[in-house]
Amino acid sequence: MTECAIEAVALRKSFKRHEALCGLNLNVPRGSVFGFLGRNGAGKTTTIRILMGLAKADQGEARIFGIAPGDDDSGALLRRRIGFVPEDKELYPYMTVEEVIRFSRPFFPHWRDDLERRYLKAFDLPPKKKIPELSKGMRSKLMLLLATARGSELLILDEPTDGLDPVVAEEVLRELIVLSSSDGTTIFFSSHQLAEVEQVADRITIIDQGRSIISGELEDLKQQYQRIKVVFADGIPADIRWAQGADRIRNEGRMVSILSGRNSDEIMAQARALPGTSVDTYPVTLRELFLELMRAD
Amino acid sequence: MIIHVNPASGIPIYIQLMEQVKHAIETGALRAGEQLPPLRRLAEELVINPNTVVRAYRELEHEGIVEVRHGAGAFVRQRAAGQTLVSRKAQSIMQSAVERLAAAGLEEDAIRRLLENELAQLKEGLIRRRT
Amino acid sequence: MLWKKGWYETRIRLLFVLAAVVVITVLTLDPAPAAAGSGPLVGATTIPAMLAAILLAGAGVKTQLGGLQRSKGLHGSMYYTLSLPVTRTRLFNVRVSLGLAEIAAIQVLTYSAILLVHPAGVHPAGINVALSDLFKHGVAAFLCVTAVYSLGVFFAAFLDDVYQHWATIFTVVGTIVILSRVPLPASMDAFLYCRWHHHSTLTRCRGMQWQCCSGCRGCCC
Repeated sequence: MTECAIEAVALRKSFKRHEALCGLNLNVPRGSVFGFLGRNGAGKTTTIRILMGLAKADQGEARIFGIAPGDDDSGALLRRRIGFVPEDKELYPYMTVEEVIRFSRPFFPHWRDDLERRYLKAFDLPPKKKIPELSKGMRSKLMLLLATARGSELLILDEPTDGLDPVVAEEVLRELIVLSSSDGTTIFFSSHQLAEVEQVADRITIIDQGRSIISGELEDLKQQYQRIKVVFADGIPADIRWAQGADRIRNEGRMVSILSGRNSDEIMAQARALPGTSVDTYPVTLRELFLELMRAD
Repeated sequence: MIIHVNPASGIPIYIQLMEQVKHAIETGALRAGEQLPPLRRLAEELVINPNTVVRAYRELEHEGIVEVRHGAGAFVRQRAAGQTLVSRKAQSIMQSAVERLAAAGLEEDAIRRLLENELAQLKEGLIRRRT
Repeated sequence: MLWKKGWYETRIRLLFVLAAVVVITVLTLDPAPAAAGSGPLVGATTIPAMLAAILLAGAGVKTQLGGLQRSKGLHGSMYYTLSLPVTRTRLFNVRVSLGLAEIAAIQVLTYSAILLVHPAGVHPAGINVALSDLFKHGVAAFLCVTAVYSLGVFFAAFLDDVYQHWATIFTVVGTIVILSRVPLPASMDAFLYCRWHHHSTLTRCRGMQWQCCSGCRGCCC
């Protein structure tokens, strides 16, 4: 049970007439860097709210380190081990950088002074500056400091590099990598920056309309999914049985473009067996995979 | 040793790392007995997941190119002397192939594309056989 | 610490109330008052406390969820507060405790100020107010004001700052108006009497004050 940092089974949540989550499953192993991807409105924020105990699922179960998140005492204790950076990176407007750190410290018995010092220096955070005067990048970095210096075993980050310039984004990502490799901190983050996810994540889940549509180790998925382009010299035949099992099929003139997961070998072999074909395969980037899977069937 | 990876190229990062290490060995940038960049440092420098580097080094070990010593790091294996001979033969094969394709009227881009496709298919063949 | 945070959130409002106290005290406590009755005394002590109750009820709500579930329209820092390892109950308790403590402090301050100005007890037109009476009045007023504060906290859970102020004021004034218009059964007479008249008949109200207190306690729960 303690192998899993986050485990969610068949989560369901509805708001009035809108079904935000329809049976979502999640499995985040300890120590992984887990990318949580999906379009706006797919259910990412709802899931994160449930994980942080801010909302209750209608059905199904969510557990962090084997404990159910919520507003009772065990839920409160659980939050000692979790660092959270929400989408709105807002903090108390009447405090300075120094004050909010001093305010937060007593809540966490495992506060990491070394991380606090490291980030204050590495992120160049001005201690006496009032929070509303900080730039967006600074605020994101401050929230990351507060989330990690508490000695958390798990970080839940909602769009951590949102609105940050490439230099700051790279700094943030680098610190996440350092945390993962040196402390074994589990990192669960949602993002629209697919390139960044591709860079740092080792596992991903893509969620659409409240359900997980693809899940697994990123490197395996990228190897598994291929784009196969078949050009028919005499035009595309009506019979497409050779392309059975493909995830997406698109016709363009004399070319058929296929996105395939498990059956790439078979499809390629069958395509090559057909007369007058030229078959090429291309690797698929995470972005292409995401866009293709989101395209309506 | 400077390694670059392109996370958005579609080719798994660990494969890119392996290729770069092999290329470095073939060109002499990395010699037998020398140490590969330490795992954590490489991951942090490239801002990529450490597990990716782990996988790359492990695969290289499988292929007998490097040797992973616990606590010390990954080191380039002593290769057979016949390695240089293989490289020279390979070079002449490539030279004649390119000349023939050029004579057939193909442009540089077309030749490169053909080569990349063949390589991609070769890689699949190799990987699928092992798993 | 949560108390420090609460202090940050309430101190400006508190300052405002203190300023009001000074103004009201100066305006109403004329050393040689012409009118009889302890109306001025009551005004000086109760109004600032009411003011404090209404203002403080809404303080700091934005940075944490109220007792009632509400997730839109609040300040983003709410998410940070809720990610802290404290239950919402504790957050609520600290906020309310601090608010009531501050109201009590305001009251003590106003009474002390009055005693300073009139050390031998207030004596407009010969009415001598003993310290014990002052104390009883203070307790009764505090309980009344707590009722107003509870109302304010209730409204703060789902209304924005200014609306919460007006809603509380409106409800209190409305209640007083209704109570003075609608004839109540005999058993409620004492309560009615107290709520509307006890302020102006301080010394005569001793016995009634305890009934008033219980009425207020009923309001709070």
